Amino acid sequence: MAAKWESVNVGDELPKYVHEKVTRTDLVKYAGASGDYNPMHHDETLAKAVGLPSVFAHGMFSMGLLSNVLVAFGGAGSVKRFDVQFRAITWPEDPVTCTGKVTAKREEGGQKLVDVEIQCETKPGTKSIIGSATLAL
Amino acid sequence: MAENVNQPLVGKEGPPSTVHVDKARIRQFAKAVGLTDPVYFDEAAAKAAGYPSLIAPPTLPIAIGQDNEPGGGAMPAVKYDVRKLLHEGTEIIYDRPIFAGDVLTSKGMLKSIATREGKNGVRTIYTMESAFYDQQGKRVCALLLRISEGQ
Repeated sequence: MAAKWESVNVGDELPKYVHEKVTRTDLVKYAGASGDYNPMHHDETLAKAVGLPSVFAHGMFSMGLLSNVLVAFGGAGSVKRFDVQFRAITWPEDPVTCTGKVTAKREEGGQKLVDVEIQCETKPGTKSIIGSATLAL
Repeated sequence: MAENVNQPLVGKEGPPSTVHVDKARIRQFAKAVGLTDPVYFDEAAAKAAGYPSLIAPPTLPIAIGQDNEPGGGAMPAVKYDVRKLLHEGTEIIYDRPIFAGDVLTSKGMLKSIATREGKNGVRTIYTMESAFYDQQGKRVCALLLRISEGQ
């Protein structure tokens, strides 16, 4: 059930979304679904040849995981703005914990809006993504 | 520093390209990012929720923007070394949700090139801007992608 604007309060937490462990299969699935075939996300041989310990996750894979938090809170059609910064690389075997919190609620142009801050954390204390979003409820 | 080889592309819109948003792509993408709501998979569930068809996951526009690369399509053919690229950030702005059956025209450009001193040397920051328009010519969403290239 999507949140009702009237009953949302600043400081409310969005439903947490946890991806237990990033696998290379996840990355191949995301590459296929997105069309992003940058080899650093699936070709271990090439990744090691340039000095990386392994392939790493697409930033957009993590942003996609993070979208779960927004749509679980506001509904599939609620997203008006979704802005992220990628802060740390996500590696295979990392867990990804996606969370969010309401920072403001406002009415604009007849729309009932909620602003939220959002993040992905991999290892405890390592934020892979920080960002913000605006949802229309 | 030598001028970036991509400098002449800044501010020039690439050729427009058309993207057909289909149900198979929506389902495949939703599954890849862990979405489970039936509105991404089941036409009846989407209609029951008041949508004309399956709704696109929030980050699908970046993926369908990729369909045009490399070389032409919505984004100008920016030359960089994929082995040295990092995705710095993304912003998506929606005027309305995207649904299966939408036929969207995308237009993109390299908005700016900048440099930034990082802990591992100078990185070049490319900011790409693109927008998708529906068949009535109304903007559906806009994207800003920030990508950096190491030395």
